[in-house]
Amino acid sequence: MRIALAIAIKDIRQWTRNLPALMFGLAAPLVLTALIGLAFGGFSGGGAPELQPISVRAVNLDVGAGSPPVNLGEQLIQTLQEPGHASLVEITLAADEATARSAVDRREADAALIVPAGFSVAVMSTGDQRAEVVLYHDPGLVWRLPILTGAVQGVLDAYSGSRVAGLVTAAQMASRGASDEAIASGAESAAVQYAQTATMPLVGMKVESLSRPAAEGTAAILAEVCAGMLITFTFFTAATTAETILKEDETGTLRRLFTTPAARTTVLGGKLLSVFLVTLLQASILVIAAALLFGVRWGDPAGVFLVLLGLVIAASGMSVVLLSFARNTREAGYLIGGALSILGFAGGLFTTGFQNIPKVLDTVALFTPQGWAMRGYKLLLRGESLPALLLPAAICAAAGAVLFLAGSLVFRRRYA
Amino acid sequence: MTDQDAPAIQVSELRKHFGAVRAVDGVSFTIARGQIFSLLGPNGAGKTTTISMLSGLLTPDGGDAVIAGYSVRRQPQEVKAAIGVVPQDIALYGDLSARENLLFWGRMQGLSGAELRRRVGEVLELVGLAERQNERVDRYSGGMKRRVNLGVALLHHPQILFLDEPTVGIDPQSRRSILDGIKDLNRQGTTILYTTHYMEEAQELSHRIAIMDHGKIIAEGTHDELVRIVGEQTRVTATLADASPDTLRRWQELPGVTQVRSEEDRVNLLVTDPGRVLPALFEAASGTGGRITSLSIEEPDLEMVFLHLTGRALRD
Repeated sequence: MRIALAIAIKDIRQWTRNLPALMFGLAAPLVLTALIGLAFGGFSGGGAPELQPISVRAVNLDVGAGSPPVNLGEQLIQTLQEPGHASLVEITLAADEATARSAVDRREADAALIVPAGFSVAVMSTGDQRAEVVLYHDPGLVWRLPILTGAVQGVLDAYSGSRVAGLVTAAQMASRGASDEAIASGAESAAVQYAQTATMPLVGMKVESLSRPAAEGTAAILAEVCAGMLITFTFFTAATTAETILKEDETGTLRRLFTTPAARTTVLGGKLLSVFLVTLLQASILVIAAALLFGVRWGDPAGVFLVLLGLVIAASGMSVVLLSFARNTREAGYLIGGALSILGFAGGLFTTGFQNIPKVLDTVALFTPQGWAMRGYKLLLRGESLPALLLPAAICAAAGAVLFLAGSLVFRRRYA
Repeated sequence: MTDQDAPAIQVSELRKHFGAVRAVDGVSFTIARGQIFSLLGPNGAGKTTTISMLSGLLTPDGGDAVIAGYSVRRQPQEVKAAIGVVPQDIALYGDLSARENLLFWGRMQGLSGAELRRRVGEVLELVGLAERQNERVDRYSGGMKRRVNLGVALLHHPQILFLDEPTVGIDPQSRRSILDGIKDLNRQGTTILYTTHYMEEAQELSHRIAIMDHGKIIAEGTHDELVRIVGEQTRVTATLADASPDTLRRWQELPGVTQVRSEEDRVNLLVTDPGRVLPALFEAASGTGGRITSLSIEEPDLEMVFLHLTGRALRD
């Protein structure tokens, strides 16, 4: 054990002197987390994430109706420009329909809102004429489209209500034997009155948010992003440390170690121990740094240790088995980069914080140690108790142990 | 025979094949305690494979070797504790200092605590790097690295030292320093097995020399014994201008010429009576349209022995 420990301590010393390894293993995950944090709108001290408003070119061809005249097209556009909508929709007026549509075609705007001529007349009509506006949009809007249609539909719903009011008024007046002229005038008057309440709906909803500030929700997402980075780079550090077995083979130091009285299994054991210890050291530093720099609240220290241990065992095992397939450091480079990127994505490390991820990816993640490590960290960050963390940690450790054993056997056979 | 009389190394019919290639093919030799024994041969002769088997890196396919009383097949760990190995390549950690390297390798040899620190200090003095012990090895010159490479093998006071071409690619000053160091170690009682393809090194250092070629020992003895193999012959090296195949054929037929071998415009000859042969060489050259532009006569040496035994130059 003394010999194995001496090899591991030597490797740790070399790791701490390897500036590129330190930059990659420690600085890169922290910088990436910081950049992703900025993309999400800042960390716990910052505000809620800012949504880019949808750019809309609006053209109103409506001239209004009623007496006094009311222009519902103009009212629609003004309503969308009010502060309640301004953070979601950015309205710019266009001269005509062609200009508005062309702005979308040229990707200068996300959508064009066209209010046709006679829109007000159609809304106030007592006939079965349908009143509608046209929304022409870029297909790239995707999930932001419902935000825009929701905002427009909210106003249109009020207009629907005004039309219903006009129709009801007309029906009531007809049943009392009012003249056609009186009916039309009454219905129009009712519709106009109702339509004017479109900006102040009588029926609505009161939106209540969870009592914690929005920034805290963002911080929770960022903590998960940070965990994803931690897991990603822990696997990479484990692999590059395991790569030193091949490097020592190429530089002749491994052969020289085999000429000492230390048994080959002890020498290899020392190299494998160094993979575990370097990875543990790196992951621990990252956990502490994330707490200090980004205010990540990892939770119960015992849980943090448990999940970290599972991660380090999984990363060590994965690295040893990966490197056992490589004949030299050149092959190892390709293997590490390719395999860990694919497994990292499959494990959900790069998509954490994203919403509406297909469920199938959650299932795929369960087949990777990275996925279970991520699951452990998510539970940890949500404040789950120790027993809840046991399953992901145990699966990580078990997978790591099996991979470690398989890789060790290959290395033992190679150097026996 | 007492333990003291027993040979330091006794190699018997050692064999190692790599596929169809017989890298070492029935090699046997004995090295008495306190001797410097050189394995001399061109690259690919089987020297490194032999040392690799003796140091426990490779398992022999056949034969055995007893080193310091232990069999390399049955007691490899005991053998490893008795030997120090200086590999052909510099096997050090470049990002550690010389001192850190020696401390690490000392631990690998089972040293620890005050004894380890004392030996590291002594070895640093021995290899002349005490003043630069804290510098990273990758900032050293090639010669300094070679000296640390040697120092690593001395940490545990081995009875027997294996040196596999330790002077390849270094400057003459460092080479001299290493050769003097080896002689000093031998004077202190260390048995040394040295491999080289430099004839001069084998000649300068060795009590006994084995010449290897194609995995076999083709001759063994002291320098004088080996040189006597070529008898009273002398090596003549001639540079020819306008030579024709006829010139070489005529030289081969001259009485007193035992071997003729040409390399571009240079011709190596083994002759028994240079006084009589030299005028005949000039005469035969001019008679076939050739012209001798330079001529050197050398006393018999190991290069000549190798040429005599294999028909090839040692550096081939």
